[in-house]
Amino acid sequence: MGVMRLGRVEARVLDLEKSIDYYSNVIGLQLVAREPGKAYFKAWDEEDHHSLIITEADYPGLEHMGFKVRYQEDLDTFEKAIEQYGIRVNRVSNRHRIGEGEAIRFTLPTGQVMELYHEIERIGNGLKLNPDPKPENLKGIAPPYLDHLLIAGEDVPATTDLLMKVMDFHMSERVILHGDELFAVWLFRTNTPHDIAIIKGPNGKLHHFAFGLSSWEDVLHAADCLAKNEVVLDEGPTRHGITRGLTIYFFDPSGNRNEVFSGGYIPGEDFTPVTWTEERLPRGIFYHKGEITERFTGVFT
Amino acid sequence: MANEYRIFVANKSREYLCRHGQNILSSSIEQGVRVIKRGCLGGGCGFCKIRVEAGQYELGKVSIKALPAEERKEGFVLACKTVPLSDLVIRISGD
Repeated sequence: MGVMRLGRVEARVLDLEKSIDYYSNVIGLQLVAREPGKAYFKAWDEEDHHSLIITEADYPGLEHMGFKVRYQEDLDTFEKAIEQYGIRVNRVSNRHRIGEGEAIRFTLPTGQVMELYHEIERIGNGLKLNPDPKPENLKGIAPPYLDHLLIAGEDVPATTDLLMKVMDFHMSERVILHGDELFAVWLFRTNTPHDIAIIKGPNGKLHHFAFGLSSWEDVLHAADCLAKNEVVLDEGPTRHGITRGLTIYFFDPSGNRNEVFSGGYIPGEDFTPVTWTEERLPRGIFYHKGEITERFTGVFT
Repeated sequence: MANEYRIFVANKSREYLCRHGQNILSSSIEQGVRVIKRGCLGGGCGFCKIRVEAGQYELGKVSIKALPAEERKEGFVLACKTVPLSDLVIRISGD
């Protein structure tokens, strides 16, 4: 039982058509459904109906994030446990959005809306019988899957505590400043270094959401795609000290930060967290450059 | 219609040119004039907020959280979505 993975991110965008073009042709996701003001996408190796929803709004940012749980009954268990922890939980009805079943919905201490769900239409990746390694006609960067997201908030310990105690997330890395301030954490439920990370910053804000890639070659290919399409770059291609991942950060047409991420280690549930302190933090963030930029730490949506 | 407009940065005593139809942030970056902070270039983050003190301009779609209506009335803009319609005098926020 329990939380399996980050299943979906719903991001607000300023211009729906421009964003549909970007996520379809530059990121290279598959547009699976549309309704007024919204578009639904999946990455090519995902089996569920969608992993990204974009919703037109007057300001960008994170509308909600959804984590998929293993069994439908897990919703009842988590509903009780989260309520007992002291956070109000609402039910989201079946078919509230296209392809989705029922969900439970609550707000993290850092202000973001999180949903847990099990049911979602399965449309498959088309690679289950004598498959080739990749489908035909991939466009743009074409990441195989949605990987993780980084959210910001004032009370990093509070959201960390909820995710670890109630939802059994495990910690891979953390940043501790001034001896005892938990400034940022990287948490996982899958076998990747993070499914969600939390950094101290303005409440309710999104730092980025990331798509997974398979190699450094793929990261370089992504960088070429971004440049060809004149996408606004933030940082990279480079390596993180934290997670050891290979990365590029860039902005979608509404200013939401996107990342492509590859590599990192494979942590187990008994993984001993890695700790970073101020002396080495710049190398933790951008390992090669060893500098933190004002834009990277200051731009949120 | 002018091909280029002059953008005078009041509190930095600097001036640069902005091509017709181009936003005042991208044109400054192209010319290596690093006076305005460059964020997302999408009107979403508010990193490039400045104030226009004189001149006409057109402001594209920007986040209402990054640039609330009352600030817009006072002449604040996001430079990445601001296209000049005349020469402009701008002031860098926070200085």
